[in-house]
Amino acid sequence: MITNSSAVARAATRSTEPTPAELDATFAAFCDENFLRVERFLRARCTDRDLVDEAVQETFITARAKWAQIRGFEKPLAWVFKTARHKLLGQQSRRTRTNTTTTNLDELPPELLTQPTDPREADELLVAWLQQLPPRQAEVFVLFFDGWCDLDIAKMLGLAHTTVRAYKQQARQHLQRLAEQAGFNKPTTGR
Amino acid sequence: MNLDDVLALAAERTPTPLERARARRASRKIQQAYAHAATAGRDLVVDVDPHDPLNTDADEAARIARAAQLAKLGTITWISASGEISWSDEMSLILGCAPGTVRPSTDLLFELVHPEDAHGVRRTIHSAWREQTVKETTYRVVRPDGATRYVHCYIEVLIDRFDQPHGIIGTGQDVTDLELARQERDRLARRCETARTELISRDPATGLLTRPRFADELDRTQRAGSGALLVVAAEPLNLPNSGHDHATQDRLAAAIAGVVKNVARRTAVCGLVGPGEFGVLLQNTTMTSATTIAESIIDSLRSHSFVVGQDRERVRLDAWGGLVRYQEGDDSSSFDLLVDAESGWRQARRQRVALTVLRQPARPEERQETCRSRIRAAVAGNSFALYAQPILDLSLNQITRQEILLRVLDGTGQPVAPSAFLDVAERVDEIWPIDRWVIDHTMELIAHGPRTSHYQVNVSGRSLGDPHLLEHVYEVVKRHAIDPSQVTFEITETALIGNLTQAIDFACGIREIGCRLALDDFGSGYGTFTYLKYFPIDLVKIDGDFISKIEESRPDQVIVRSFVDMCRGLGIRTAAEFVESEATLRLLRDYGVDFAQGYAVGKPTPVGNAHRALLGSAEIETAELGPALRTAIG
Repeated sequence: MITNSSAVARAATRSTEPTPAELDATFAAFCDENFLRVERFLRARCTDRDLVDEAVQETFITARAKWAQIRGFEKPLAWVFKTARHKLLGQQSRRTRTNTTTTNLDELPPELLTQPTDPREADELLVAWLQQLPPRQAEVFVLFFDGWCDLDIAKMLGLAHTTVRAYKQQARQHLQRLAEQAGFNKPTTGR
Repeated sequence: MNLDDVLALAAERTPTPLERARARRASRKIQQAYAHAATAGRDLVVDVDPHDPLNTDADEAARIARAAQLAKLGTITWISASGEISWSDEMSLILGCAPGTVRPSTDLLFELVHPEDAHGVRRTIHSAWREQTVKETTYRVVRPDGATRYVHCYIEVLIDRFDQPHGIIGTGQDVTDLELARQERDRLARRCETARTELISRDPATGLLTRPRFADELDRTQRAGSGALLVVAAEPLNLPNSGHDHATQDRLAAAIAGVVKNVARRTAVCGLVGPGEFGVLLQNTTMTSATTIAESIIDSLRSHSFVVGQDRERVRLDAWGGLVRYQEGDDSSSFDLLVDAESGWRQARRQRVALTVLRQPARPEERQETCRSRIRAAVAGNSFALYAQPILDLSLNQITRQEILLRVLDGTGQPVAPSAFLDVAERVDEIWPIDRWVIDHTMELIAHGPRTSHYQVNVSGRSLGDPHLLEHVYEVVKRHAIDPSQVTFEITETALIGNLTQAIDFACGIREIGCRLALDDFGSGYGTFTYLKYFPIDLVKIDGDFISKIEESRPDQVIVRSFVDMCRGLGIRTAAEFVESEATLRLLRDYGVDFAQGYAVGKPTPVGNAHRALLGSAEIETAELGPALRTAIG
């Protein structure tokens, strides 16, 4: 799912100076394509929708300002994820300096505790579970789930390679516990 | 369905048309905002790392250190091959050293970590290295200038190109503010759990306000305007034998309270101001309507019949009322008004009418005189009785002591709790004759009782200042040839407030005679630890409020346990009142409390009525002290 432009195309964009119109057009396409993914990434670590919205918005504006450069990166989205996280952390530490947010199972909307019937419901349930994990584990898991490799995740989040491996495993165990608590402990047969 | 099923299903998610539309809207908004900012010439890339995170030549340690630096976090790096340690400028600041002024070393690092935390930090680092996984730890740093800060650190294991561990990097930040906030949250949560903000303000049997709380209410309404205070007294005309036990009397009081509340206006504040005495606060009302209400309460009580006991015997009441009007700006205190209303119903009883109405509070001299003559009459008429309540020595598991308690005989000769009566006596300075009565009769009792038992007797704080008190005690002890060490005088902590010098004189004097001294009701009033330090106390009686629910109350447990420890260190023995269950007894014994008193040990029993005590018949008294005393002998 990660958009990989070919090396040839990358070389071509680097050699010629893009026109403003071209930048606008490619950025618009990039933004349309990835806006929801970035938003989802931040939601895994932060329950506050306003903070997430603000961080996503600011990140994309910054991305647009740097678009001429980052469009040439191998995976521009990696830069966007890293920057979005940086912005969110900055906002979080400014706004809730003393308040650590934890969500209890009790606070989950009850409809999420029934079995999800479509991919959207399943994904919302996953996000709700991720929000109960330690944030660093949650973001490693969501990136892994989004298709990134361990080393890329380590680089985006500023973590050691071994840490990503450990968090992936811990997050998985944690999710398993939450799933079992919510009654999801039997594999579906014949699905 | 299990976790894998949920993940598989979630992975199939594609944006809905609605979500796509939202993304496009957001995208347009972003582009507009960018265009706007660009025209305004605003710098949009400040504080942002412009490099491609994936395309970097830096090694792992440098990469993590750089990310940490951007996030304003400090790093410490240790490379296993060289054993070299280095830290970033930010970390240097966290550790309290100006960057570049010190040479990083493991020794220096552990010199800066708080000694109590150093072991934990080492252990965490070792386990991270051994398990090749990330760990986190919070520890204190004692900076060279002496300031202590809390630091949180992630400890990560670095690997080389061949996937072999070759070092450790710690990413840390000063979390002192967060840590203090967390500690404060924990403390508040604990406090929330342990603090009972509601004062004990209601009589458990009737649910009415207690005398002091009712007086508080009276004070408050008095400030808010005019009204009337009614005190109704009810006495059974015929009380069957079954009606004499505590439980029945409580039920009867509750039933009477029910009638009073029913007839009084729904909003009226009611209190149990004395045994069989009910106070009703009639606020913002005319005297005419207050009188009507008072009369109908008395009528209802007189016409009501109550059924008590297993034999279902009918009890009829007689009732009288005293009604006094108060106005804003009266000089009378709530106590004055209570005394006036109480004198009112007594007058009604004497004159054989239902109600006495006072259009205004009595004059102070008049009130004082009424109270005095009532108390003098009680003393002269021997309207008192002594009760003894057994006290268990928790280490011997034997009854070794008795507390001698005073009861006042009411109009029908029934013994009732004396607190309201003593309250009046203390306030009009007529307590000494009562104390003398108690001391005389108790000493006589002791003289005829077994020499092995110990007696605790109460003396009012007001009498401590009386120069005759010590003299009198000395004389009575001598007259009856009593061993003074058999007697402990109990004084309340409120007594100490009045005049500390006098109290200390009394305390030293009473110990000179050879008697012991106890501080009663400790912890409930205004007592301070100062008294424990300056007062020659032998025994402290912990207030029943800390004991009666101690089994389920963590705060009570914490307070009592620490208090007992403290007293033991000071050479003071401890006693617990209101011990009502075996479980409480066990708990108190574990805590090291010396004595226990309460229904689980034994209820107060009469030690012979006033006349018998006066006659001083040894046989009657020892017989009536009951099995409790025999336990002590045996």
